[in-house]
Amino acid sequence: MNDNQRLEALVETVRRFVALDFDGAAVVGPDGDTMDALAAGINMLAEEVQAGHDDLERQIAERTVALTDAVSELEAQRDDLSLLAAVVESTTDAVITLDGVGLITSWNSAAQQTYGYSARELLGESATRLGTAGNTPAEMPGFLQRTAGTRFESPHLHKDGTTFPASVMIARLRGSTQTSTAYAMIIRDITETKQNEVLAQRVAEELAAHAADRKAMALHDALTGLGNRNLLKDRLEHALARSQWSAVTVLMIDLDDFKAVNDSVGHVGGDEVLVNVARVLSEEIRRTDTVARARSIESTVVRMGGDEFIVLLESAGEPEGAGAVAQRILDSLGRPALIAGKLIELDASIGIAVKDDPAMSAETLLARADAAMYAAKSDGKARYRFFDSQVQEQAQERAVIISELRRAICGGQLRLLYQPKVDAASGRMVGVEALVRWAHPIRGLLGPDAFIPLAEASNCIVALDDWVLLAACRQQRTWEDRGLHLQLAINVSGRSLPSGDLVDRVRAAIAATGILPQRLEIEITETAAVAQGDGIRLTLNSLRAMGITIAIDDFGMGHSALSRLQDFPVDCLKIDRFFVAPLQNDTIGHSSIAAAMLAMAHCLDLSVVAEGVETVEQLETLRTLGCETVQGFLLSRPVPPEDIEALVRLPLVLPAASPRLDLSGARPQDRLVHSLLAELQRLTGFDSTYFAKIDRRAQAQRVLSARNTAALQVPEGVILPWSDGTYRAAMERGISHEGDVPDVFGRALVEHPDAICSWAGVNTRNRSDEIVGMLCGGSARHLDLGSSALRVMTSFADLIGQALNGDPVPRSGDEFASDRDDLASVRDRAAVVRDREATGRDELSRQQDVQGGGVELARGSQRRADAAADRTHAGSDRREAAGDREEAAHQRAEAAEDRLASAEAARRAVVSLELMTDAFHSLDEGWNITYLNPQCERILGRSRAGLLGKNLWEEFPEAVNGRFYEEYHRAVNEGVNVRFTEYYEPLGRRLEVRAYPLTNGLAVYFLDVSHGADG
Amino acid sequence: MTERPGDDYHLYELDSALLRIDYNANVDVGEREARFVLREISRSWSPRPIFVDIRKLRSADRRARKVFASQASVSHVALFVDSPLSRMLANVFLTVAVPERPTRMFTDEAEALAWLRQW
Repeated sequence: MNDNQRLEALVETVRRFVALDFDGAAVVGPDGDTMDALAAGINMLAEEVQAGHDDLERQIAERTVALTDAVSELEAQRDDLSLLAAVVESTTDAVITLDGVGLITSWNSAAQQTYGYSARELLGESATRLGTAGNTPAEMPGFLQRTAGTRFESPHLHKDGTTFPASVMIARLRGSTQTSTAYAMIIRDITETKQNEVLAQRVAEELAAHAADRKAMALHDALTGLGNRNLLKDRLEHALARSQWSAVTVLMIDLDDFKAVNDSVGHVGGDEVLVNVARVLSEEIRRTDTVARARSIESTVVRMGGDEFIVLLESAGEPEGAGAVAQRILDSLGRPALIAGKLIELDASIGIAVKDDPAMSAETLLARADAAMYAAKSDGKARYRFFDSQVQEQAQERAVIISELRRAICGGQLRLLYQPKVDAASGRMVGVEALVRWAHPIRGLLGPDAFIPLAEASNCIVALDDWVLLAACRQQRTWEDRGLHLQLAINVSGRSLPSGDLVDRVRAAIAATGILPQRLEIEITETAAVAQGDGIRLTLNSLRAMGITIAIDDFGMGHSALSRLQDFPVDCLKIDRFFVAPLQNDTIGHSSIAAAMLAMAHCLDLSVVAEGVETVEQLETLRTLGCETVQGFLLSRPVPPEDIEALVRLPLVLPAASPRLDLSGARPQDRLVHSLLAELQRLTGFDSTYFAKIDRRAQAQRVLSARNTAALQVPEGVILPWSDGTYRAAMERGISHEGDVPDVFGRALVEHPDAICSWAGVNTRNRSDEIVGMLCGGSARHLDLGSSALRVMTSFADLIGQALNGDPVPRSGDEFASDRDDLASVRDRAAVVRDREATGRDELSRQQDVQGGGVELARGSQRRADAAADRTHAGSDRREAAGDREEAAHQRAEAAEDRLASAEAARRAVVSLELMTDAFHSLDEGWNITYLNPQCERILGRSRAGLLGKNLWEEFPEAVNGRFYEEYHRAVNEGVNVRFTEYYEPLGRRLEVRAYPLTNGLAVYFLDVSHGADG
Repeated sequence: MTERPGDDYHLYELDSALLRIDYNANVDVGEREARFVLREISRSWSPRPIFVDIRKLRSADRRARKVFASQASVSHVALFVDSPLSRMLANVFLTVAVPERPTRMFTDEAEALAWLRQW
């Protein structure tokens, strides 16, 4: 290659290098000549250019990254600024920025709201227009410098010229240059705060005044404004301290029979009476002061509590003066006063005690007045009585008796007699009431009137009640050991009820004696129940939860409204002898009150015992009125326990019962419905069940019948509007089930605040397949409401519908007119098709023959339930086909015939044993299995066919050695219901068993409770 | 007299104060070779002036030039050249790489040694 060629090659290489193509260097020859030098120089320059280029690229990349980061940071700062601007714009405080001389540079929305100016109006204007502390524009720079970083309050100007108090904070802003100065002002309108401060000041002043009132109230009775016990103590101590030169007299005033007055006018009226008494006492004492001013008399009137008042007289006068004051008080109280629309005349008993001993204490003086007052009551009330030696003797005697009574309780001087309670129809003794007597070593056998009031006036009554409880339970144990199974009633004083340990004491007595709580009845007087009110509800509920029944004693004497009985958890009413005595003459007029009590009790599902039955006429009338149980001298006086056995063995021969008075045509149906609801509850586990009638024209439903046993309380008679669309839709769907109680009832009906309720409903239809009612069940706990429960409800809905349609239950309007017409038609058809019913009647007869086992009844019930379901589903088809209607009429006639034949048979039929969630089997007298339901088959793991007719103990030999054998025999032999839980090893299950004796065998329900499982 | 002969060069003491390195003909020096020779120098001698004969050297790439320019194992450098190519190499080294130590280009050996000896 010559030099020209080498040069061209070099030029080409340079061109490539210029184009930044550095691949391939210029060739440097071995000669080291000029061309080689040129090539080497070009190569070295290219290296430098390439390095510089690469370095530049690297720097560009680095700076690109840095630039990207910077942009990101700027964007973030811009977002922050946007957010800050949004915050400033959205804040309720006015935020204004100013330049260094106080010209406004920004103005947010709140500023516009606060001052009334728009931003356009004020931007560039001086902040002095806002009334900032009265500065001029020239003063603003200095003002801003001085106040920067501070917070202060000052009046500011609104655009409309009004001023408002403002809280102002000024902050210096850091500008982009050291020399630039800007400020931010944050202004808050504190008008409301200032108003609140004024209000708070006023409230504080009122509270201070109230505190002063409370201090005054500590010494005064809130109701009457009189002094209270504290004031009396203070005044009495002062009076006694200076009594060397004055007489101190205490008048203790207790209104007579105030409780009766209170009941007649209500609690509000009762309060009004007490206020009126306070006014009378105050007026009389003022008059006394006026009359006796010359003798330096000082008087104080206080209310000690309830209907008890005390007048403290301090004077130089004679004690007879106190008698005059007392008489004036009695006269004034006796004047009729109009209270709650009634003319009320009050009587009072007044005890007067005069300090006659310089060392007499306040306690002694008050005790003497109390004793004198008690003596005035004993003397016949409505009078006053000075404390004197006789009063002292009486008080001492009372103290002695109370002391003796205390010893008597511990010393074995008390006796229990037992008065039989007798079934009014059969004369069979069904129970006894324990009655206490005091075998006093000197005074002889004392009746309760001689010592119970004293025991109640002291603290003896609780110990007395305990003694009676334990002694009676021991006697019950003795009777039970001798084969006597009686319901034992024990009276408990009202004083024992509020004490929370009554339940524990009863439980201890039961545990100590081993009696069945189900055979124990606690009697409390109506007066005590009403007096204690809600306070005893918990106690009674706890006792009932143990299985003990509660009876209201002396019913009718407590002056309580009958409706109040619903508030108490009771099982039985004992009608007082006062209402039984007039039944001597068997006229409807004399018996009307007792009849009303009985009707009311039965409506409340309470049993009734009539007390004080002394004549055959009374007994006859009570039986006529439907009274189940009677007690009185006619039947037996209270007798020693050893005589009870003889009375049981020899049933009383009672006069033949008269035909029962048909008290109400509605009752049988209502009672049947109620029984059905109860049965439904038992089978499904619902706590409440009810049947509601739907009135589409009125767009409402009315709860016709309800049975409540737990938290969900559905009131009977309540009319519910169709305001709850969900509920209405659920009802019209047919069978429905919801997790929660429908809103239509409102949570007010659920008493327990934490109750979680389940609800299920199934509708009932009339002959035209229209929905006419609904059967519902609700529970305070979530139930597993499966198809079985709904099938049971379907059967019950059908039967309840039949029960209500089948008899002339009194109803409002023509709600059921079509039903009645339809039923009449059905009955007519029943006569026509009677021959065709022969088969059905034979079936019914067979069912009745095997009632003890129940299997056929249950199957019949199932068939009827299936038929009802078929009727429901095929309703529209039936309306179109006459032949089908005839068949439907035939079926309804058959059902009506069943119903009319025997209400009891119908009730038993609806047990629907086949549908039960409990396992059930029945046994005959020879322990042969006569029936078992599918649940029983499942739990036992044995087929029905393989067990029916077999001997229980042979099929389940392991049970012979367990508790089953023992308890089943006890149930049959003693005629008692038994309940126990036992692990049955062959099945590997723990069973909760309930066994009920039948006429010819035993009915047994059980649940698999092995793992809390629903058997 | 200490010598460090290599494949591409001959390194030795001219006297106790001077070093000399003579590159062989048509040698191409890269970074690796540059570092190698400098390491040889620093191992054997304290920093001192060096006479570098690059008359026969064909090339020294950019990285080699940067290594030589920043070296500290010698105190003064005299580049001995004669051909246009060696002059080009020296000139680029002196003007583009800009050595940190005093460095001059000579075409006369005696003059170069004289310059080195004055330090």
